Amino acid sequence: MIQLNRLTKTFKNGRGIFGLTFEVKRGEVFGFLGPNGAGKSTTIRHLMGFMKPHSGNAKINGIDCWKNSADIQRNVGYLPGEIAFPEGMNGLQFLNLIAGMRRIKDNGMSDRLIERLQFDAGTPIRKMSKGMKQKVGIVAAFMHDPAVLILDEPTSGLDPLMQNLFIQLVLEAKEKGKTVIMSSHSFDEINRTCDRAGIIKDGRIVAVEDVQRLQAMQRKVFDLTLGAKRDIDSLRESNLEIIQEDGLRVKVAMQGKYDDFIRTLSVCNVTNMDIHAQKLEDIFMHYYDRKVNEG
Amino acid sequence: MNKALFASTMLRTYKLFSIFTALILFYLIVIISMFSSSAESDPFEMLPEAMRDAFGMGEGMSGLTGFIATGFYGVTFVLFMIILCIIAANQLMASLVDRGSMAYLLATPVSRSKVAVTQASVLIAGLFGLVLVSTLAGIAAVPVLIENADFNRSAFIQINIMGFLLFFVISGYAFLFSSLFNDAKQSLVASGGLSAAFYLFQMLSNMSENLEWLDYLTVLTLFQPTEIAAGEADIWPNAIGLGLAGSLLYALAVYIFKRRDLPL
Repeated sequence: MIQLNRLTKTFKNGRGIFGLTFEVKRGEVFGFLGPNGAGKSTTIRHLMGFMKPHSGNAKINGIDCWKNSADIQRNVGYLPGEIAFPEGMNGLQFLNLIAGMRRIKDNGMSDRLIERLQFDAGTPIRKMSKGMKQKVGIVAAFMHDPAVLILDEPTSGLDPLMQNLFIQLVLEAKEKGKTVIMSSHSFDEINRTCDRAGIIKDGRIVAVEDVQRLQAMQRKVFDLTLGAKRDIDSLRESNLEIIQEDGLRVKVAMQGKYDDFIRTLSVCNVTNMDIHAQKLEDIFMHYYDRKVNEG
Repeated sequence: MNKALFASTMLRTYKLFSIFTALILFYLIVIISMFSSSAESDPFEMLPEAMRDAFGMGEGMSGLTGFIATGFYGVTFVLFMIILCIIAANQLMASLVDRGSMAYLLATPVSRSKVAVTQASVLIAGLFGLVLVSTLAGIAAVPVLIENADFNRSAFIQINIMGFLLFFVISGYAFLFSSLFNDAKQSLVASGGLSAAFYLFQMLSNMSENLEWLDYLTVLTLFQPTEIAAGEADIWPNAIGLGLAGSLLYALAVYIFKRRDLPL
């Protein structure tokens, strides 16, 4: 549904995107990850037809995103990473403008979304908080029930409750067979919505991987405070990977194999426990480094 | 042209046009009411001659129409309209790109050229509306303010038509810069700078005979309100020239906007 074919764009400062090739299949939710400045937004700008590639192309549903940028918008819903609405309007006027430009007669979808996101669309945009503006943007992206959704950092600025609701919206879209590409920093978000994820670094795709496989690769660090010295000894005797010791505090890293860990701990006196999950980007980087080393 | 966008843009810019229409009407009416036919007096007499020359007031007045042409269309009208063109053109394109809100407009099936044409139409319609209102107001105000006025209505209308065409061109290059730059400030500086240069060239050329050649470097030369009032001007060549130049500038603006990278 979404195809990038050796998409290349070089900026004057030497940065850009270089030979990006990947495909998002119909009905798939694809996560797009990478550090700031890696080229995520540049890629999305090409998908939206805002930029002309130097070579290669981006296609949605077989239509070239640059040459026929107006045509692809019929089936695309877009949520920009930076929220900026035209000045001097309220939310409703803005949404009516977009509906008018899309020639949408029935605003039932739009009304239902406003209802679910719980905001007063009649508020002047300059008086809106960041989260509220984001909601207006979400309505604008979903109002025409598009077959393809392009979402740039969709949950930034939303409170956790609304983040959940947004994930719900993406899952519903997925159920209806929509194709979604979203950039994100949140593992939870990617984990709960995406089938596959790709990471981009310095303008190049470094890995495209099933999210489930990534999840299995995720290292978790357990930060334990134990009751006595002998508890630490029993941890040492096990196969667990201890990465740091500080008095009665021990940090144990693991990747799967939680059963052993629980069995070992069952004989210990644990007074406190914290869990730190590895960030998705780190897993990717780790995975990438390993591939390079093995390669 | 997209109707929904046109209506929405109109709604967001009519205030700006209204303010300038009010200012221009106010000055027009003040100038008309300053005319007193009996004395044939010239309220600009107190200005030094060099300054009168610079503003193009050296020609002398031919009745009420000449008085309005010199006193209002020579300076005040031109300056206000230049400022309006620059601000409005900048708001309609460059500031949308600069702030990023253009992304929402282009994320609809309305093509870039249609968006640009629609925004341009709002600018042209606004300028046309302003000139139309001030023309009608002028025609209506004269008999009320001046008794037995020797008012050349047809010359007054011609001055306004030429004024509109002049600002069709000036708004054209302002719109071109607005479509060309990503940064609203750059667009303002470019159209402001060019307009200031045009104005300066006209002043210098009026002041000194040695600098008259500067007339060829400024579009303002093609607008000759005093000559039209005196019945000395053949407006057709200038009208056609301005019309063509303006159309070309707008067409170029749409073409450039359609093809360039946008940092949205």
